[in-house]
Amino acid sequence: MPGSQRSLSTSAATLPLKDALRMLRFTVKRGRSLLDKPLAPVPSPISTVARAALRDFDQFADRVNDVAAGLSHRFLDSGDPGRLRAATLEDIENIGEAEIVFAQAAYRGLTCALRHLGANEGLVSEVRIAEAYKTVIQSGVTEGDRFSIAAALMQELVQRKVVRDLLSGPDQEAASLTEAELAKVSIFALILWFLVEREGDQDDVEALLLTCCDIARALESDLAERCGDVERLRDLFAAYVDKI
Amino acid sequence: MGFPVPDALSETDRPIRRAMRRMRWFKQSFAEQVKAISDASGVEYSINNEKLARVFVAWLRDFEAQKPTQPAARRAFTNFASGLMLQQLICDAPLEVVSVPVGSDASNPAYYWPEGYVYVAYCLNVRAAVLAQDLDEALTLTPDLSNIRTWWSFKENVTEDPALAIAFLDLFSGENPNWSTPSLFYEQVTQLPKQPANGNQSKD
Repeated sequence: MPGSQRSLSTSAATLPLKDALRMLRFTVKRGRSLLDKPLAPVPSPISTVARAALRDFDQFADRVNDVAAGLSHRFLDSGDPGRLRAATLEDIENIGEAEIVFAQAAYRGLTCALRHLGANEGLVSEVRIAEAYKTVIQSGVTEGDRFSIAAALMQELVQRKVVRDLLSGPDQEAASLTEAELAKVSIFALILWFLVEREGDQDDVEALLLTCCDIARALESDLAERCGDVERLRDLFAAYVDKI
Repeated sequence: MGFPVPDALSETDRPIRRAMRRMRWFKQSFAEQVKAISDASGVEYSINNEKLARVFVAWLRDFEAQKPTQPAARRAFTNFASGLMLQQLICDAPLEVVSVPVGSDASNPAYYWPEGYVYVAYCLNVRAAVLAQDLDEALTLTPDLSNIRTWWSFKENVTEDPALAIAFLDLFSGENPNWSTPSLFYEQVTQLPKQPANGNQSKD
């Protein structure tokens, strides 16, 4: 289908721009929350000046955020940006420019997984996800079974730090995990979700992802132990894919 | 004394012993059990799905590790596996009581220990469903199940040693409990260690 090929190529070209806009919004938001903290103990006259400066910063931040959000939504997101893809890893492998399709689906899945696991803020890079996928596919691991691909993909996504700068809410259970642990749990959940067979149209893809997140959280110590060993990681995927 | 049975456990179109080993089914059937008991008792609960997943993973590991090799052991293992589930539910405590009706009777097990009551109901319903489906056998519940003194002993003992939940579930369903090594499965009855003369009385 020439039409869909053209639209995928456009998506490929916009991946770095999407990442850049997301990073800009994230940096402004994080900067604002950092500036807010030291104000409380400052004496009154200084505090008044500082608050005025912050108001200016807020206006600037709002404008940057509006422009970045507008650009993202208007030019970069095709279809419904919040909707999770129902495709499995196997489905994606057979699509043209699979790394782009995978990166888009994984971005949405990871964002949703991280929110469920209690990370309030964080950056997920579509460019790094696409690069990780391409590396795994080109490595020849695809000659193995789908669990070997899953394990290699997980290692690559973790190594490339596709998830970073995470912040958890103070009363979230996720606060007990380090950023690296939370990244592993969310990536394992994502890939497990990509492996699980969908049970027809009525299967709720989001509920399925959240169930994978809960299982991944329960396997956190196994992940810490096995993440560096591709064979043992493969066995973990194989053991749980039909238990979801 | 009978418990409300969740819809998922009245299904006949797929084997429950297999469905049980899938998280989605486990989550759904457990939530249905909680709702059924909540509707009947007026107790409001909240479910922690993260803890429920922990229960599932730990139970699955024990299940796989002790799965018998002999088909003849299937009935005994069905009983044992539902006991393992009760043990794990008590250990990880995925339920929290949000509210209990004012003036509820604490001598009724459903109000004396509302979370434990749901866990027991769920595990006995799973046991009953698998026995009915696979062996065409009806589960007989004993009067111990509605005896508040047994529940006092049950709660006190399993708080100290959750493995005893396996023996108590057998007691509730008229089986011969293994009080000394409840968390070990014996494929043949002759392998079972000798039980204390007074059985559950020694646990009071």
